[in-house]
Amino acid sequence: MYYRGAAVIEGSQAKAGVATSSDGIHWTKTAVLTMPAGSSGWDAYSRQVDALNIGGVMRSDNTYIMSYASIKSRNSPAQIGLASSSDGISWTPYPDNPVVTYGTSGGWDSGSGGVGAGNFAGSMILAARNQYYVYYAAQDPSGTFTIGVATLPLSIYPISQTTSTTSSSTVTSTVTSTVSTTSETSIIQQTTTTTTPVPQPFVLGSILPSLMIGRISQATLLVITLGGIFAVTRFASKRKLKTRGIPGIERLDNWIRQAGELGRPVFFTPGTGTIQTPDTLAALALLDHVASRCAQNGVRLIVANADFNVHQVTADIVKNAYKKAGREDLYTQDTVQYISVRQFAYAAGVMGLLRREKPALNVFVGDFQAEALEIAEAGRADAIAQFGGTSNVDQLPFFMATCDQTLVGEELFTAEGYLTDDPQTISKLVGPDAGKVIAILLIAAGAILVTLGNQVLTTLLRL
Amino acid sequence: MKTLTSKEKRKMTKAEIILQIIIFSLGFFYAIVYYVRLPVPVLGTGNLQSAADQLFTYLTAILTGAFAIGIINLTRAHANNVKNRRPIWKYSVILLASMYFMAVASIIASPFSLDPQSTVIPKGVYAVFFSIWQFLYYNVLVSINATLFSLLAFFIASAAYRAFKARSLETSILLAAGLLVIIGQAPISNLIWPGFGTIRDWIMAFPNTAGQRGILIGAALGILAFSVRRLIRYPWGR
Amino acid sequence: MRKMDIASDPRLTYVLLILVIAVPILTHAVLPVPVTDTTRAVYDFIENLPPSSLVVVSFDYSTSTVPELQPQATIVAQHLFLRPLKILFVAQWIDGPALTDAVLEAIDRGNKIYGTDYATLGYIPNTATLIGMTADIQSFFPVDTLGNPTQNLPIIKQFPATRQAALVITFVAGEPGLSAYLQYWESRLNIPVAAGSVAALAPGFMPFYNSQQIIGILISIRAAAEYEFLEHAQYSQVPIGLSGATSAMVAQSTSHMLIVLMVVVGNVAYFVRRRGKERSK
Repeated sequence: MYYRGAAVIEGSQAKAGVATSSDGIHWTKTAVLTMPAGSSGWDAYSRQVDALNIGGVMRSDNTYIMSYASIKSRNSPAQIGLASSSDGISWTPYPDNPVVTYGTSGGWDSGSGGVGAGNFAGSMILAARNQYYVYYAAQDPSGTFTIGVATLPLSIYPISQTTSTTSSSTVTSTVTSTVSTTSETSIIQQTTTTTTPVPQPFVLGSILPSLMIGRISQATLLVITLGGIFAVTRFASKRKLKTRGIPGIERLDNWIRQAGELGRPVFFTPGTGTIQTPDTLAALALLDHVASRCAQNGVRLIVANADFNVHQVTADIVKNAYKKAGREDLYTQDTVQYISVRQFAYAAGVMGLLRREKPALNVFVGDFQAEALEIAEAGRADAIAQFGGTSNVDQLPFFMATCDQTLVGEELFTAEGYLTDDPQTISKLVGPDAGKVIAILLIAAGAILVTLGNQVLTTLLRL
Repeated sequence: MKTLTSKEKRKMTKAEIILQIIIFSLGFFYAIVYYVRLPVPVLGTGNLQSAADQLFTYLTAILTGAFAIGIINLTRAHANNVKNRRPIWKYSVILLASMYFMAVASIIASPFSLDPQSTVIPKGVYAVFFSIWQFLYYNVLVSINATLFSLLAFFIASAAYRAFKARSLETSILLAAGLLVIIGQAPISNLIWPGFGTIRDWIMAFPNTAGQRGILIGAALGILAFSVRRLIRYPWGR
Repeated sequence: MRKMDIASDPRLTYVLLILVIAVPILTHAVLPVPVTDTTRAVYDFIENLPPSSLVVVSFDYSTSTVPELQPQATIVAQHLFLRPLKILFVAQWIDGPALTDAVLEAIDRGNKIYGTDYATLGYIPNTATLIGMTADIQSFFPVDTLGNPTQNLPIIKQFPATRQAALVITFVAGEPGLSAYLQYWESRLNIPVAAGSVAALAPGFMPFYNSQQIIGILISIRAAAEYEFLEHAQYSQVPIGLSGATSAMVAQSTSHMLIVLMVVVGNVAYFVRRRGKERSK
């Protein structure tokens, strides 16, 4: 018997195998079917993932003939082809495959549009009356399945027609027989409508299908990473660790002091992100530090915002910082400005601000899009120093080309650790390094495994 | 040896404790919803996932409501500019005028305000406003946006000239890689030698992607630690 | 002799750049462009879609990236209208619907009827709508952008949910954009996704293409030119220059070469200066 099976792991593909039995009840698996690998063509994807959607097999003398379905790319509907073999295990595809292809628009076998349409879901082949008959099931646009038949001349695989391993169902007389071309006719109407799934009672056992494995492994990874981060943090906080420091953070305070001596303002912008963006939150943390330093040095601060919620928060932060240092006189209506939520209106507003106010120090940290280069270049002309930071990898190159110091990605989020020698906060820097070690180990293991052909990690971590 | 001002852990006030509990619960709830994809029916909303999505929509709606505050803020700031005749007051006038006119024109010219009986907004008025709106949108807004975006080309040129200097080994490698990608990107290079395109594809697909992924992983871990710290204890009252 | 140092006076660079870009565009220069695999993948996929398939086109960019993405949208929309397909236009960015109208006016719509063969649904305001329309379009889009109730549109009667789509193609310049479709349409419902992207984001999308999560990418205006050549080769009634991308290709080539030249000259000058300093030491 030929059967088709698939592993439980999500994303694995169906293969076909052979099982034999002497009593028709107990079966022993004997072999897995193989097909030579193809490249591009009607069955490119199926060959690439080594899947075999076997339909039916018939045998005559020493030739086995199979009908099977294959797909060209991951999301295209299936088509049917034939293959032959002399031993029933290794197969050679028919050179002129596919033999049954997509149906006419809107017709009974055109599929219910796109993927998962179940076109040509099953197939079966037998030989009679000097022809091969390939039976298959197809869907129409509304989802109704119909059985159809395609006829092919016997000459493609010349055999004697006396044997057939399929059952004795006779071909009804409604089949039109043509001689040299394939024709597709609908012979049996079966109205099974696809219904919305009936809500199942909640049973835990039914919930752990392959779909969950990706999430479970991801959750496990998250817990391990978090555990590692916090374990390392505790370990580090008990010891006096020296960080390499990012010179720019130390220079930041110097630049603010220089701005005070020159009597010029400091400019800060938290980017175009919303209050939900992590980059913006990290920028606000840095703003707190910058604002308090400015207040202590008697420096005028200008903050430009692109989001009104961020604007509320920045106004609050700056006002408090100036109040704490007793320099409320420095907080004017120009200190915190709301420009515009539109990306380039914001860029134009900031460029104008920079040209008019001529700040000594520009701090651009947060979430930026294309406007990053524009405001950084515009500020470069008059500033003595520029300080940038973002985790958006597309804009980092622009910052690095225009800023004297750039916080790259994670440095933006761990910046608060660099602002002090307190071991508590330094330990917060070291924590994420634990996660990086885990990531490096996983990447290395995954790369090695995939090179050796083992898909365990990729299927485990697939979402 | 610098220490930051007032970084000592202080006790949270009652309001802050309540807020922290709310923050933590919401964060934890969304983490659960993401990882546990059970079709648990919740309050007749279908399942946990759709309840979470709906809640998120409500929260975002609250944030969007602050949009009105933005307009009020802008109006106040620029009206002040005009009143006090500060140096840029003329631009403030233009800003206020265009902002309000565009808002009114968009409301009147919107197809949703199309009144079949033409009782509220006469068809003539609608047609006039629509054509003005169309002119402003396509001829002014689109053009200005495209212009500002095109400024990038000039800035990239001057930034590239400044950044691509072979000062050290690393900058030399950067220079070589950058030049190869720029050449490979220009369609004409493929007529000179098809290899340029292949080199460009290889550089973008392998070293570039690897570097980007490294930064992304680092940033993601940084965000993870940062966010969990915030969920557990937000630095109140800085 | 006072050398005109580009670093201190960028205006020379800017003038050269303007000339080098404007001349090819104004003279409608044409340059044959070799077709990349990523573009061909999209073209072949659309070409091989079964008749009467539903294609969802999403405009996820704004007016600032019109020069980069509008040519792509124009030429792909023209292709879709030449094929026997049903098309729904949506947008995740506010400017999307207006840009959709601009594209529809620029192309030859043939004998396709609005409402039966294509419809513009408009702006997708949030993720809930994006997810919901895969199950039921009508409840999330009660009217289309022209004010017609969607329940009366034949195309909505034929495809009441986007779950049945054979392809969703998104022209994306940022977020929200591709990731939303990948997250909610591709990974949950296996709807094929194609992307037309700005140059800055394309490298970030390549991993998705390599893992076949998206079937193809159109990278910046260059892909529009390639697509235009492909389309013109098969459908000769489509004129070269419909999207304006081909003359932009020439401009791109010249401007790229100018930058390369500048960088090389700059480095040569830098080395000469350094050598001079070392020698004088």
